[in-house]
Amino acid sequence: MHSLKNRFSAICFFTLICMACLSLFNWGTAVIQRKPIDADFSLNKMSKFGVHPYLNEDFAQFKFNLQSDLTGVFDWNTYDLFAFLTVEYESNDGRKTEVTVWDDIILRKNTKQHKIDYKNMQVEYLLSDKNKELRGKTVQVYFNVDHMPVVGFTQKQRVHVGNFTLPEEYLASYSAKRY
Amino acid sequence: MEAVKGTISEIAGMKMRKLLLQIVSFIMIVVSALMIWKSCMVLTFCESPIVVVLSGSMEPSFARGDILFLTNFDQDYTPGDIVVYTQGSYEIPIVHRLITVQEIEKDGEAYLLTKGDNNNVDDRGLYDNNLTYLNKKHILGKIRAVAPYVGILTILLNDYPYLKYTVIGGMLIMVLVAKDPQS
Amino acid sequence: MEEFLQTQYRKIDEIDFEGQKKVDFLFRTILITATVIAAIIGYVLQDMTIATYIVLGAAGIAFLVTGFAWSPYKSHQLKFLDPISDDK
Repeated sequence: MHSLKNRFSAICFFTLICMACLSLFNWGTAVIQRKPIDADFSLNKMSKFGVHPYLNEDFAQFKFNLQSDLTGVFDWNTYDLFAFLTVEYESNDGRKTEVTVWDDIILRKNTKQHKIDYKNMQVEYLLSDKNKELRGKTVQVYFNVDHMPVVGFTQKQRVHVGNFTLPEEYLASYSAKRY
Repeated sequence: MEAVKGTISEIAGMKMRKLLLQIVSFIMIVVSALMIWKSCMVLTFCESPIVVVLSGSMEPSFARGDILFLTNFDQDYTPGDIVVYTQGSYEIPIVHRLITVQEIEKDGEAYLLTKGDNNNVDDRGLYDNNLTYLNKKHILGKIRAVAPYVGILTILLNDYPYLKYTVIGGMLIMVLVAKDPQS
Repeated sequence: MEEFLQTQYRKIDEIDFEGQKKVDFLFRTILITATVIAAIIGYVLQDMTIATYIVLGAAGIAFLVTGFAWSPYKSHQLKFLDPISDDK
């Protein structure tokens, strides 16, 4: 501690240790108080269901309603929440498929966005199946939330919000030109 | 005359020993850092357990300069996991989120599709020409934790290469020229 | 010019052993109390930014108070013995 450089480097590294302890406290107090999420979902209308002209897969697009109150889920460790809706089903021989159909980033700063209330929202991504087994399949819908922390571990939460069955036959045939 | 030559050779010999001691201490520091890195690799089953976020494709959750901690012992992927993958001709590992997982065999190989949070479209444009989905073998690891701003030094060194050369040159000079506290 | 810089640097550089003890104790207390205060304030206000700024501000204060060799750290100078003449 005799020289200037010694003192400066000692202070720098001690500050680093203090910041690490503060980060641990931040993450620790937040993770033990995480509240579970809840949501309401309903299918509004199946808008497209057929064979994708480029990918050669089944695909479906639909409109849905979603309500959820996420105000209690934010704390001082959450930087933003990545909320997404997944559709999960099993193929005829037991293989799982999980597809994200809609996602959104909810920042902690935008308090108006904390209550989600979507009516007749179009899905952002296609529900598609490589093996073309979607006709007549009952799929489960889950609402998931990924906590993106300020510092610390990320954490996913999910809740089952409903299910629906796809139509037995394709709604239309989609050619490359029309699509 | 003999005594003078004797002392000169003694002093020269001591300086050589000191120089060798400095070099060996320097090598020991480098090797112990390498040991810590390799043990991290073994513990996490992952080739590079700590990465720095270089692009802005995962904003606002991960900004440039954050460091991410990866593990690879859990090969069970679900949508929403943030993975680091490399594929084909693009050598830099990419940090994006999984949006679709479709198993090819039960608990085995799977088709995976990724997309960056800040991008509008999925990553099919980044994959090689005949690839519509990724496989588990492309994935280096899953992101578990983040520490903000710790990697800013790496970003600065990457963006300004002269800074990198000055820092490394300065460190080398300090190691060789620094006064040995035991002398 | 060289001599002038050297003497000025030595003025802010060297402290004695009692000063070292004081400096050690001081910067550790400053940073630890600042961390505890920052943790409590951050938890109550649920804001990590304020907590970080408190800790970094305390680090700056520690730099100013203990980094340079102020006179309280130099008050117990070592007493060297008088030089004795060589036998030869």
